[in-house]
Amino acid sequence: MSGAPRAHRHGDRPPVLGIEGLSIEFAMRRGAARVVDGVTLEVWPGEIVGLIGESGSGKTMTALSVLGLLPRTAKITAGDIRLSGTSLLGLPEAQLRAIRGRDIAMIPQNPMSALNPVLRVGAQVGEPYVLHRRADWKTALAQAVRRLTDVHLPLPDERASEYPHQFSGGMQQRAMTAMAIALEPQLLVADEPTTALDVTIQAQILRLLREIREEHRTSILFITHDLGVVAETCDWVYVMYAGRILEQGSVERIFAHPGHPYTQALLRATPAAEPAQAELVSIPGTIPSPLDLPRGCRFLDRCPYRFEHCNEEPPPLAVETDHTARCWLLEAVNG
Amino acid sequence: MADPLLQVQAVSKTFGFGGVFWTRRWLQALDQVDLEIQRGQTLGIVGETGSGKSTVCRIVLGLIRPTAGRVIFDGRDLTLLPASEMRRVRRQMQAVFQDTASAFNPRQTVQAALLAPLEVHRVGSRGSRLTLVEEALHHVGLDTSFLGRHPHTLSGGQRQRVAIARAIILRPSLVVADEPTSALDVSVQARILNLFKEIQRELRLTYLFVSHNLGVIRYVSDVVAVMYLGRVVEVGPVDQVFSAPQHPYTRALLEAIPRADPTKRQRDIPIMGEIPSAYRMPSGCRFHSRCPVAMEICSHEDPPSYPVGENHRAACLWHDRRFVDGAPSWIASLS
Repeated sequence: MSGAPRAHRHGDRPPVLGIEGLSIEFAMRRGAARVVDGVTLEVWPGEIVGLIGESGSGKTMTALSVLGLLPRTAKITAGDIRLSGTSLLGLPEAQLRAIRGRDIAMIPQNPMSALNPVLRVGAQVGEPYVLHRRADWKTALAQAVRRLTDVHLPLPDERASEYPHQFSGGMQQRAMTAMAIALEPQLLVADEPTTALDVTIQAQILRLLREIREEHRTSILFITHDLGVVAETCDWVYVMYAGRILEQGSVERIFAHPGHPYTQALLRATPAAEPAQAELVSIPGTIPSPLDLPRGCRFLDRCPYRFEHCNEEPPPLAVETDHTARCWLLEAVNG
Repeated sequence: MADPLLQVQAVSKTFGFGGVFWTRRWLQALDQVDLEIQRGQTLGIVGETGSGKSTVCRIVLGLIRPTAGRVIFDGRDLTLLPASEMRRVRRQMQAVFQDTASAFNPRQTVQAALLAPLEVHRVGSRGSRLTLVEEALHHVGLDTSFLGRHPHTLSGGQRQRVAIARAIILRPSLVVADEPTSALDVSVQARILNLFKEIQRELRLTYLFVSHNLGVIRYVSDVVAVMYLGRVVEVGPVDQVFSAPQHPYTRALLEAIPRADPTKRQRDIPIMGEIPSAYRMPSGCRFHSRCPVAMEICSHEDPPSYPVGENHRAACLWHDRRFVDGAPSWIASLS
């Protein structure tokens, strides 16, 4: 059986997003809480990359760091974040602001709190044209209507002059998406964009994101806790746990042959509608606190397969070509 | 043998908002809802936002009164009971909700929170109450070290366990659980769902279990009711409904769930558009505006509930004798 090589990788060009050895810490009274620890991930042109993790995994902090929107109390202590080869760390705020919205845009989980309640939707979707392209408002509004059409908002002309509260949750998320793709950014960061939506609406938004990728070759970093959403949407998957990437591989590999015990456990703990499961296998214990991380493997305390070796930190080990997991079992099996 | 603990018969609920009588806006949250739960079984209710599933819970618990219809619990019509009687009946039915953070008094310890229902219903002596508290904790897999803890020092999963302990401490016959695992991580959710099943066996509990997650409903339910805009559109044994759904909405809902299998991605969007506003209820069948197989007649004829299998009913005109010959292939013909 051959491992799927990463289809979107281009040997000669840098990835759209390259995160290398990123660590993020919060200074706490009881010491430094390292919520992201040595994370390395890439997003290639036209690729949808899933970053999957439960609460406390550090996935949202990783996403915020890409946008330069980390809370003030958080500090990047190691690593680099590059957009098409150019480091974003250390850029002055003015330059970051120019990049946000133009080159990187975000689709948040809760559109209602991201949209300005007292501004008409059209003005909000059109604003990037005024801010980044120095367009006049008339042009910007026309562009906004075009983008609202792109995201299949019904009656875009009329809807553009309405306020966010007149929109349903699904329509608000379409408007956020329209705003995010306004200037055709290279990278979209979508943080749980469908978690607050009903499943029929979720299906529509996921379809829309795939369509945007096809039509504009936009790369998408998709942050979620939902395995189904990842399987439905992504090309490549990173599994994050307690600040670390525990496994990465193509979506087909991760779901058919998960290499890390944590990934395997997540799949067994997810209730499926069809076919029925006789029993859900739950994961004992809880995610370790970032103030009190175990020595060695992060999943150590909850892992059914742990052995002496696990007290040592496992490096990423190859399960297959382009599919790695941080688990000593792989070395034991591979010899 | 049929031995219903709870029967909801033709229950309707209309809420009024704002204005005086003639300018008031009326919202029909439930319309002629019929449901039944057999003793020791679990009835799962699924539906999207605004389907009325939480309103059913609140009416069953006697928190709000229905506009019309009857709620028969253990042979007695709750809608006719005086308040003093209702209080005694309420001991037999307990609730677990989604938001555990707001379900507890933050200044109360776990012990005080668990003692409260015993004190309210004057169960046992002061000494024996503590034994009951410890027993309830034991049932939900927590030890006595939790007695002195405050809710905010517990994890979401632990808090939900305490909420379940509080719900079972009076040994009720019915537990109403409204989205009890929706705020939890997958690994924790699996454990809580297994706990629900375990204590159901041990204490012979009957559940009314509401969730928007069809995987969760499939896992815990014996019978499932699918709600749409205040109506039950399909109800039946969970395996039958999930493997051979007989209402186009149920089919669409099942198709919209992202599967944790990237080789089985959705090809088509199952249903277009969004759930209509309950202020402007569609004429005829409420689902006709979004239905992929709607007939002309569906826009003006309201379908009754047709028997479509053993204990299985669906409210779709395709099951009517007039149309069944030309029906889509998945429509079961009973004649």
